[in-house]
Amino acid sequence: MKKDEIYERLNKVFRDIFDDDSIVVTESTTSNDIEDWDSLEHINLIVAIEQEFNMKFNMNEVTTMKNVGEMVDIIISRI
Amino acid sequence: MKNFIKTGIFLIIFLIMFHYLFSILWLSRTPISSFYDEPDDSLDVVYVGASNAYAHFNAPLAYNLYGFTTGFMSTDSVPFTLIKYLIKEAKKYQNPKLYVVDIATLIYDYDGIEEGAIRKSIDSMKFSLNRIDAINDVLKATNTKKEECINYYFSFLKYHNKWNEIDYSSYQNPVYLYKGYFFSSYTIAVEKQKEYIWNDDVVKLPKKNYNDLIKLIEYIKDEDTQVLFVIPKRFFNENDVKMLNYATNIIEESGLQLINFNKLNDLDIDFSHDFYNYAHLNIFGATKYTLYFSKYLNDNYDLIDHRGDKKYNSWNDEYERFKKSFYNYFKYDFDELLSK
Amino acid sequence: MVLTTLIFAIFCIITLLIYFVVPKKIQWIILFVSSFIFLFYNNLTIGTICQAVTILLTTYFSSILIEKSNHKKRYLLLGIGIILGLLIYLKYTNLFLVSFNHILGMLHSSFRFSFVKRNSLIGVSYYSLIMISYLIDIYRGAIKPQKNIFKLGLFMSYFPILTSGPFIRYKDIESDLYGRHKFNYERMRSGLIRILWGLFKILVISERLGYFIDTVWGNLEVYSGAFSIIAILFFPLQLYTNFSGSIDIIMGISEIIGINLPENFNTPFFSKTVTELWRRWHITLGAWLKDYIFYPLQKSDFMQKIGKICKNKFGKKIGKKIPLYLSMLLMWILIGAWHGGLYTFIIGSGILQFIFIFLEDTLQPISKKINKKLGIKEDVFSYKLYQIVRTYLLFSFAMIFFRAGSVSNAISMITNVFKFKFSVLSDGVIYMAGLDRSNFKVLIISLFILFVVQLLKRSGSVREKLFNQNIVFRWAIIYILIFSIIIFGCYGPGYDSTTFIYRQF
Repeated sequence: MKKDEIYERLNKVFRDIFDDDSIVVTESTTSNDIEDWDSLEHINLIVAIEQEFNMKFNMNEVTTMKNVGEMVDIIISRI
Repeated sequence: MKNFIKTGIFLIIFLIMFHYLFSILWLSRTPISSFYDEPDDSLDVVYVGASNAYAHFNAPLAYNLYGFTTGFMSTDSVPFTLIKYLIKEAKKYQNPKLYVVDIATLIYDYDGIEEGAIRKSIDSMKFSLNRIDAINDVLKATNTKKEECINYYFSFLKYHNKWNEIDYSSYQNPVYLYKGYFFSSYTIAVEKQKEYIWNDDVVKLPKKNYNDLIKLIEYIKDEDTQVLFVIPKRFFNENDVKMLNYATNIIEESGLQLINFNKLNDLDIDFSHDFYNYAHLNIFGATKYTLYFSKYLNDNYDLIDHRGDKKYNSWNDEYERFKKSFYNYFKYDFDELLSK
Repeated sequence: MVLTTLIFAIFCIITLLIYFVVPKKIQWIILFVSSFIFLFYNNLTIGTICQAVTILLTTYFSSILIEKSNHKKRYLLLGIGIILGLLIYLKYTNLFLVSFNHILGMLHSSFRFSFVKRNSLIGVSYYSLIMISYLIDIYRGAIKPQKNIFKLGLFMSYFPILTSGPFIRYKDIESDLYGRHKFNYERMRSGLIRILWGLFKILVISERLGYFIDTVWGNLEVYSGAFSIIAILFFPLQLYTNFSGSIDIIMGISEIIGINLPENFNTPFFSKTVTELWRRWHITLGAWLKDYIFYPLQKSDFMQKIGKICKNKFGKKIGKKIPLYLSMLLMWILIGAWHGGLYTFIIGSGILQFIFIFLEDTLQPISKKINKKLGIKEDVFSYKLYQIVRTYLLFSFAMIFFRAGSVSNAISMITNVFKFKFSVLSDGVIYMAGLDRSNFKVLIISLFILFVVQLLKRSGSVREKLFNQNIVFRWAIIYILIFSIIIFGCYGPGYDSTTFIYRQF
């Protein structure tokens, strides 16, 4: 799967979770850039991404991912 | 290097400010502060002991009469165990011909000594190893908790709280000391003491007090210091008298000198006019005492007459100040009293 | 050893002197020795030695077994079990006894368990959790275990953090803790200023607030109305200045050594919601719970299943929230319990906080709609101020329980609020509760200074701003700081209340 395609599918998940159709994520997007992305929503997001790509993050990754770029690298390595 | 110097300057400024701040906060001046004010090696006699020392002996008057200078290593009810450290402290600054040691507090019960009595002398002393030794000793003697030591080592731990008590009026009427001498204009008649007659009965000193006396005598002998012990003229109860008689015997047996002013008949001090409370002479009693005792000191010890020496001008000034203050209270000249 | 005492200062100075004099290779050994002296200072008994050794050996061996063995989970659970068991035994026995007594009461039995007093080592609530997270990190493959047991001992007991945190993570601190550090003037200067600021917060503000608060809380039948209101409003400030002041001292010492610790506070009382407040208050505890309890729980198969069931029943929106709130509730009960083995802690710093956050989360969309309809602007100063005040009031209310010691005390405090008389404020009666007029003045001025510093902090490090000033101004500020601590600090004979509110946890 190409990176572009992953980002496209990620955008879909983000828009769905945060109820905001204007979200466009990039490599450097962090939780600070999206208003509702806080510790309460974090796991919902992670689980939704796992379902979308049919893969699993481990707990260490869940707690240490710094931005969407790192997230994408992990997704690529798993699918 | 630059940082090192900067830190040094910072600390020096800090210490100077700290020093002045706490002299403001502490306020109290004791005879020991007057002692430190004197130039090094300028005192001929150092008078050590509790309040009986500086309330009884008018040092500027003695200077005016014979020209020798007297400093006081003395505060209120100083615990006897501290006498040794006060002499040590005096030796750091002065080289007097004679130490006069008042032993009135020898009979005090150590369990009854209050924090204030310890603090007044300890807090007047400059920070030094001697002071730390003194603290350790006196706290041990009074069974004070060990953790308390630090509050004595660093007296600001206690006195910083005084910011709340100080106002302008605190500075209005400071207690004024004349080279350490404290002058009281009050008179009370100490009737019951009139009857009491000293005899030669003895009773043993409590163990702690006895040990203190022995330690002091040993110290004096080791250091080869010239000391004259005195028992001040004042009220003592029957048991006090017996203990002091006992102490007198110990001191005399060890070959040291002691004068008991209660047993001197030619010292014309009477209990109805010459006291401001049961234990302290007022200005009239103190004048009689000083006239007598300064003559005795001048006759028996090789004391130098500094009168006329410009370096000692402050003693004249202080005597004049004292006379002025006497006049303000009684509206007649102090010399009139002297001529009587 | 209390952080604000001379003995602690002397202890630190000696440690630092030796630390920077010895060969850099053995610097960590100095820290290790100091930490163990600190750990057992005034509390060296067979029992306390056993406690420390048990936790250290448990962590050491389980970490190695977790890494090597094929039964990782088994050894992880064993390790956590032992540490947690010891913590519960030391800290929560009484909580269970209270519960048993309640049950016995309900069963009309007259038998009651009497409370026990356990002699636990200082900092046990801190290093138990630190060691648990260490084991979990190894299990998750985030770090490699420390093979040197003494180095592990240092990680467990690094002395500044034993009294009040912050929680550290092995991978963040490893290189600093065992690394070699040269003495650095700038670091020392910066660290010392931070220590002074911490002392100011504790000795000048927190202890002073404590006189008033303790007087009111200690005499609930005497003080009511305005006294109660002020005591309630003061308490979060007392807690904050005490706790963050300790953290300042701890971080200052670490800065001088060259060890970076995570920040634990970020001007919490400027928060506009309780949710935000907890993101800025005791940050490292929140992060710990999030990473080791909240996320794993929420992501667990069990919670996901509940989520699925709920989605089918209540629809997607609400469905996905239910596992979230369940995990949150559990986490808040744990936060409350961590603060102490009393129900009042679980209510004050747990359940009530959860309720506030739950309401904020659920009501926020509604209030947004209402504001829009009424034309209330949300991004103006007045509205933000309202939010900040509201948050502070909610927090103060919850903290009544935190301070109360018992539910009945908390209730009498709350009822006292309504016995309000205005006369108290006008004729100087307010100065009768532990703080006289001049102490009140000092308090108000120092709180104002605190406020200004916190405002400055929002736009970057206050110390950096100070160091950018010219030397005269800079030194003047430092001297003023030092002398206000020396003169107005509540310490010395007559002031022996230097017990840390957070230390007993």
